[in-house]
Amino acid sequence: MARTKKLAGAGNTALVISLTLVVAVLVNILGGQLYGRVDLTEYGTNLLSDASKQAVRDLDGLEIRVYISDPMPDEIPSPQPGRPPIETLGLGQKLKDKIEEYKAVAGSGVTVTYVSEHVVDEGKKARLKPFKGKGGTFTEGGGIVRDEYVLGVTFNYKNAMEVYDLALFPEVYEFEMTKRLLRLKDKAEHAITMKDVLRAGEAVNDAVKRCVTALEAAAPDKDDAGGAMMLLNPEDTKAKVGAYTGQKDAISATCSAIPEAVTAAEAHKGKNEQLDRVALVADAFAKNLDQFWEQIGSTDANTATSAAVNGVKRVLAIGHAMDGEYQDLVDSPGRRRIGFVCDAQTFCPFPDNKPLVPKEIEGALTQKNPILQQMLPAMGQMQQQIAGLLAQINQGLFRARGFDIVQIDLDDEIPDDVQSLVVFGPKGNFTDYQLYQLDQFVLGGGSLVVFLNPWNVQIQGYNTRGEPQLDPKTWKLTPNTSNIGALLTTWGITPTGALVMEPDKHGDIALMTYLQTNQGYVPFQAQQFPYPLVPTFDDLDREDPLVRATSTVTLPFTTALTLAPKAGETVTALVKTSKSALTTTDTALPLEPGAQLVAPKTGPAAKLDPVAAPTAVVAVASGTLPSHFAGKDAPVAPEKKADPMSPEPKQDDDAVKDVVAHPKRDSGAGGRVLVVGSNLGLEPLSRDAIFAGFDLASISGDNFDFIEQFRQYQANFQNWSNQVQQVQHTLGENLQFLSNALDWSIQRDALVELRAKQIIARPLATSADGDHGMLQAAAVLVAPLLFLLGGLAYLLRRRSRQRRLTL
Amino acid sequence: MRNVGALARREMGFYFNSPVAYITITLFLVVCGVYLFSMDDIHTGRSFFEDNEASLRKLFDVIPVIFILIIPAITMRLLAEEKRSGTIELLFTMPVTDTHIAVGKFLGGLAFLAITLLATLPLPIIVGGLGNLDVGALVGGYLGLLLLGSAYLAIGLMASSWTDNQIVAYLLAALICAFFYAVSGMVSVVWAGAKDALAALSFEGHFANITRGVIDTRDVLFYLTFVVVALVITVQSLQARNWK
Repeated sequence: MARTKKLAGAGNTALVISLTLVVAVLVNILGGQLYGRVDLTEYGTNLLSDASKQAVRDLDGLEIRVYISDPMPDEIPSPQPGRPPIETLGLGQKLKDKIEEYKAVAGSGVTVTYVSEHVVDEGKKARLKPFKGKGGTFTEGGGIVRDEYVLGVTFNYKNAMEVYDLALFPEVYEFEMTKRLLRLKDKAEHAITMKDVLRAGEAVNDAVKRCVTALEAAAPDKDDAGGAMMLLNPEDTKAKVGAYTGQKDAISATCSAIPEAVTAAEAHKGKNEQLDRVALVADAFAKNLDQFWEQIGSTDANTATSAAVNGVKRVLAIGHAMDGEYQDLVDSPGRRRIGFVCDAQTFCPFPDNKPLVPKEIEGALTQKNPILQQMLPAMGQMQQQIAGLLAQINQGLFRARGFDIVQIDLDDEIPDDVQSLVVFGPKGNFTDYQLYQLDQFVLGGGSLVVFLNPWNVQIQGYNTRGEPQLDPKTWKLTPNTSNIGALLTTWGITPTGALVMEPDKHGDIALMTYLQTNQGYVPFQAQQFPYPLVPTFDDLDREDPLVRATSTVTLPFTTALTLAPKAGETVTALVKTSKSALTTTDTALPLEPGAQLVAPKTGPAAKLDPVAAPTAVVAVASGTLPSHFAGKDAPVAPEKKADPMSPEPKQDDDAVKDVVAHPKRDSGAGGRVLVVGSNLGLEPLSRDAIFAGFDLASISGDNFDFIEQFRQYQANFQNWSNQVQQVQHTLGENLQFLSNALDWSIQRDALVELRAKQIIARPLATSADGDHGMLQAAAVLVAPLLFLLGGLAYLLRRRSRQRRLTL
Repeated sequence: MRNVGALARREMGFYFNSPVAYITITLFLVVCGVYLFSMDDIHTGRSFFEDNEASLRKLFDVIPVIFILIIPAITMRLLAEEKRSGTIELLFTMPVTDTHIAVGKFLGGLAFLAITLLATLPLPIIVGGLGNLDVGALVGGYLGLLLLGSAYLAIGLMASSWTDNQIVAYLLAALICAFFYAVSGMVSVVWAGAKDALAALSFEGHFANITRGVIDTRDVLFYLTFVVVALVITVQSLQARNWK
């Protein structure tokens, strides 16, 4: 009886618990489908911002396809070298949640499809880059093929597509998705006006693709990976030659559409840079194909074999390069470009690949002057290094961050798709015509971002003997003389030219320590020293998204700005100095670390002026802006000069005529100007700056004067490298600000808002170390002690009351 | 309902009419203060002032771990001690149901937890005085702690109902709480198919969402259903006396 009761009781308990568990699971599953979220944070950090909502609402008919590999590896190596692996747990759910948020906003205007079968293959077809986990499968050859996964989204709207792949960082999901939605809208709108250009490109791409497919299909052994091995096997190579020659007519017929398509594309020449490139690649492909047929039909067996093994590879490589070029063309409609002004010795992140000395005359020169045999290759190497560095900066600092930058020569017409101009650290003067171009660009609604470069600071500079100048007395502070300030003054922002120092809050300068050896000074290691001329500012306009998310800005060798808005315009200081900042224009300012603020024992002290009130170092002007050339005649466009370095003259002579054809504006609304007092440490690097004064005539003779000149070039390059390295650590801190400035300049304010949302800087108020100690004591001891005392008082009171009751 | 309230007040009285509660909460406050202001962040390796950010994220990272040690201590005696001393029999003779007992004791513990959290308010006040603290994220953080603490309390009460030994109840509760808190970290050692289920059970994952300042009904529902399930098991455990 007792046993039965026990069993029944246990069964009943088990049933109740099981039922409860089932109900709990069901409730959670149902809750997972019907859920709501409230974001309590100040700026709505976790849910979609208004900009994102608007972006998705603007795309009625948007189709979103989501690719999430299931299962995912636990962690994957970080795409950034040196970073810890990325944990993937919950990433898929977070991506789904974000997509559902967009869908909830847009309602029936958006279709979401979750790709559930062959996710990796489907993702690859949709141009998603796969990533690899730790696991893999062994191949027959003993190798390991690592498993591939995809995590990403494609957005399709009216024949335009945007891809968001490697969606591994949930904190940037909204930023990345909204960025693509904004681009998609632009792309779809402009694709209509560029219909003919896109069709021409498509025809070229299709023709090349068909030809590539036919050529690949003709290869007898498609898995052949080793050309060298083939050469060792005459039978195989013979078979290969035979396979191609046998199908020559069929392949040629397939490929015959290419020249026609290229001719059709060339009819649009100059209208679209990407289409020109597509046509160029297709043309190169066709020419290499002709050469291939010529070689493979050769009576010389070696030539035919080489064509069958290597020639075909070259042709196919060019054919595959077409994919990237065509994709670039497809992506080009609505692209918002940022023009980097490459005049007046600005920082211009575009490599100049034209050789200083044309190859054709190199031989003649070295024959005449044997010393050049060593120097010309060394100069070539230096040029390559400069080009490499500029390419790295171009890619790493701008393109990899999604900015489409283009080189601008202000003597030419500014392309229509350039929405903003960046003048980065000008050291020289602009011509009147160049200033006019900038002026009219802004008045026409464009944005101008100017990073000033008021001073040239030469610390530990190298002399022409290749020796570092270690004596601080030889370190130089010289003002640069750019006339950009006159233009900016018209818009209410005047660079004072005075260097700003923050005695209390500043970054470091990295100086090299050297070892003295028999061969001279050898660099040992860089050491950082606190440096008031690398001031750190924390007085930022927290209302403005450009700097809202930024905790501090460190601007090396910055100048102060005075602000005087004109009627109809608004000028705002985004970053200001502290009250205790000092300014100077004294070129005798000692430059060694720690010396600026100390009175020298001998000689007069440098003149330092305290600021009367916090002064602007970054400012923005908008509204109705006046013209610098109001009431004056428009400057005349320069005649096109033949480039002495270039064997061919430039072909776009019409551009100059077009420029003068534009009517002159005396004021304009919609444009805006951002001025930063510093060049962020990016000193101008260009072939012309390093090889300043180079003249072919100077090396044509048989004298040895060129040696000194060559040493100067070497010193110039070393000094540039020095200057950049001394403050380059501050660039990392300023990257967010730089990205914001560039997005703002192309009128992508929504992205600036979103970037600001990702990281909201909430810096602590500046307080002394003693205050920190007091606060710690209050938090650690006082508050708990008060609680304890309160508790004990309550207990004592209670006890005494109980005692009274007992009595 | 009146019975439940009376039981909750009785438990509250037990906590606060002896110095134990004050000493426990004071120690908790000292640990929180020291960790927030004097110790380096385990993620960044920097102290609060070096981080230069007006945020309590560091505190919300550590309190769930401290709770694993403290809450089982609060709950271990709730039923185990009553069983050991025999006072539970007295309770059973009163006009209260087993559900009343479980819910009353749970609410008593919850009130203690709420007072403990309230006692930490000087910390956000100090940090708020130093910089612009995001109040929304702060509210989310406290709500998350309350929900997480509720789940811990329910687990503690459940463990206490299984034994008459307080030490055993404490250890069981601490182990179960630690398991559910850290379960998302165990996914790499289990079968891939169970990964999602385990991740969904993770206290840490749901808590992290709330402390970001997002109140998601899925997270709230998770904690509430968890508490209900644990209380149902506690009630069943109490009712087992009828058939044992």
